[in-house]
Amino acid sequence: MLFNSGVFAIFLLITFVLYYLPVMRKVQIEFLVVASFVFYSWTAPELLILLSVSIFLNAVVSWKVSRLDGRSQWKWALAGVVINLGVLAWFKYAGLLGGLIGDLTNSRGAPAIAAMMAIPLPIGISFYTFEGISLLLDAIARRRRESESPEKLGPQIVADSFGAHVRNTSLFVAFFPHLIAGPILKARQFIPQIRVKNFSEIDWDAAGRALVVGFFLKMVLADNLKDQTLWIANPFYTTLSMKTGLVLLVGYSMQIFADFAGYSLIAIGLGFLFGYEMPPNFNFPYISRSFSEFWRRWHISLSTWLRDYLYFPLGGNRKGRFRTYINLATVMVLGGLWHGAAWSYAIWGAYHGLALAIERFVSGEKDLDAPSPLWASTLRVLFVYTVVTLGWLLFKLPNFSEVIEFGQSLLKNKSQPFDMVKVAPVVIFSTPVVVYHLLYTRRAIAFRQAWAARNPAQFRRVTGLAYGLLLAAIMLNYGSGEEFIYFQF
Amino acid sequence: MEAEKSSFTSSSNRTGRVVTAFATCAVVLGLYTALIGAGKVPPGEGVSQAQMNVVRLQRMIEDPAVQPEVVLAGSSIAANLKVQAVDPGFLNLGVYGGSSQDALDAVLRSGKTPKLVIVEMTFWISRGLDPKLNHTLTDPANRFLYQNFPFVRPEYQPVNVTLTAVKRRREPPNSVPSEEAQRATAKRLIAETNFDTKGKILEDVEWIKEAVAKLESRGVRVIYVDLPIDPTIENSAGYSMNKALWHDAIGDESKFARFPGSESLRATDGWHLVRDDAKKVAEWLVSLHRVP
Repeated sequence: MLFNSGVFAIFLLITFVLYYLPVMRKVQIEFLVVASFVFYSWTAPELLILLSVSIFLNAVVSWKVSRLDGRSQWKWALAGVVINLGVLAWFKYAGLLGGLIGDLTNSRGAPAIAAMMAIPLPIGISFYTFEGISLLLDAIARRRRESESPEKLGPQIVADSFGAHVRNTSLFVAFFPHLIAGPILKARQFIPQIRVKNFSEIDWDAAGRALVVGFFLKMVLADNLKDQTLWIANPFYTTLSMKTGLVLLVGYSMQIFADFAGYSLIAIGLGFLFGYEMPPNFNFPYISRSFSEFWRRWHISLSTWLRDYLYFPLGGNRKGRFRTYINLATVMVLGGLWHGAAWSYAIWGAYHGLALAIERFVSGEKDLDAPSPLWASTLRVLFVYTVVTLGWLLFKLPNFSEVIEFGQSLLKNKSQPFDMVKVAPVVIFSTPVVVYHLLYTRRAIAFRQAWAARNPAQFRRVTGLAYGLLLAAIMLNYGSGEEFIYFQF
Repeated sequence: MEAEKSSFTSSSNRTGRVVTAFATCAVVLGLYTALIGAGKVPPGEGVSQAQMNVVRLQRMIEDPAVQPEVVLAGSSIAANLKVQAVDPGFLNLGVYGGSSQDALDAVLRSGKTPKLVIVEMTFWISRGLDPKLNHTLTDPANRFLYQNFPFVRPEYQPVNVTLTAVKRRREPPNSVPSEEAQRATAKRLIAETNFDTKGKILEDVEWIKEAVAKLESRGVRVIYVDLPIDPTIENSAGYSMNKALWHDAIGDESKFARFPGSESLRATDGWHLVRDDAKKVAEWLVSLHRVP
């Protein structure tokens, strides 16, 4: 079910009304779990089996690790992580592995290889298996703190009764706003919020802002840009001039941001409607002045997951320079592969890993986040943006040979003029993304905060007006509805 | 979002802004609807090819003011021919990335009876009906919104209206590739395009024949046209075989028209004619209407 579909609007309305009915209070959490299952299984009910099995296994293992110590705890935890990664590997990477074996042994047509390559990818699997792992690791961490540092214990993750724990795990993993494309939640962030919610507690302002901006990014910007950036595909790109091709690539970078950040904001807004707060997933990544800053601003829930559960356990930057570079490269290649079972995603990850490693090597001990003159910041932002945008080509053209061909075509057509029919809409629909980022530079935030403090009533009126215009734009200039890019991951 | 949130969600009047936003939206939509109603917003052609398809077909189906004398039903090959510029009585229902069937389906759904329907016959009839486009055009919710809330119509989207106005003032340059480039493109397309539809094209022709029979039963005259493309592709073995198949399946050669001298035509990308040649073909198509 797509957030931008009529079916979803009806589903949301019914779920929202029933959720807050006084007679539903006793079963409010269970109802939200059932509604989430309905949402997930709407077009493919068979997918619910795998999701339910995954939830139940994670509930059992996390229940166990929260009550065991020492070797037995680690055995259960290891089994849980292996099962989660095994499920992900089977459904997501069997095809890639099958293709590789087929190529190496020249047996692509063999039945076993063909069967491996035909395994379907259940929607959202990359997200919910990572959340399952988060539950296990957070449960272990809390259990260890019980004996080692009780003062830092933090909120309870595993409920006192197994039934309540299964219910909480189900809601944590399957809560419909984030189920299909994140944000990837951490158990310690979400589970402590699970309780009966009241209608009067809804933060309408936060929900409204997230939903309006999210739908504007997705429906107006991403969906309209999509109809232009489709020209970056074989064989269409062979006729693009260099100038037009580069503008379209910029358009694609804006599209992928608007699509994914839009989805995340819609998810966050929907979470508010049901009384749950989810972490931000994007923090204006295209104004980053360094690659490390970019990864603190882009798909934050994935990058913090990789940092907390992979980079830190590998030793992070605590084991010397060389080991740090290796760790960065490992995390980024695996992060790239998380996006899809194609070598181009691994190359994309390696590309970013290399950028991070070079940046760390060149900058040494220098604080890259320290304030710098406007011209220097601008140049750095443009440099990071350019490198990141060139990298998106690996997303748009997952067949690496096409990336090379795209570059060759542009060089061949370097003297051809702009194709204004393609360029003008890209400029029009990309500009709001640029403005959106500029509104969140340090200077702009400072200006806005000063204004809000000086004249709060006027500030509210003007921002209310701006959100109203965005809402009108959604209705007046929506694009053709399409799945979110990150659904495929 | 976070920075903004921390700056003002503690306000005592948090819902006030929600009300302001909804009121603003209502005022904007009301004003825009009034402008459309007063005829101050000229409909746009569509910003993207997908939108152009929806605008053209939706207007044919839903708008009672659209009563064309002649309809050109086809794919982007037909869409590239500016017949309406030659004769305003023509309506070009060429569907980018689509087929003649998409356009014929729209004519049938509209219930309108043009005097003549010209059906493009090229390899792209093998695409069949586009299910996504068909859903957009037939979905009851979409149709309800289109009929009752003009501001949601793609033809009135502000960006579409603006860009169409700009486009009408600026004609794009007549891009003519070199002969060498044309030959290279044609060769590549012949190698890349799999002309083997495994007999499916006969099912597509059957669909077209049924649609044409329905139109003829309403008194509409129908002509099939082998629209010209790059001659190298048209004369290739794969393409010629399919052409023979659809000619055989239709059976009646008197229903076919063929542009004279198509061997000298040039295409920008193998399929779509360069502007000057497209104009010649458009003029010829208009002349078909004048032949009794």
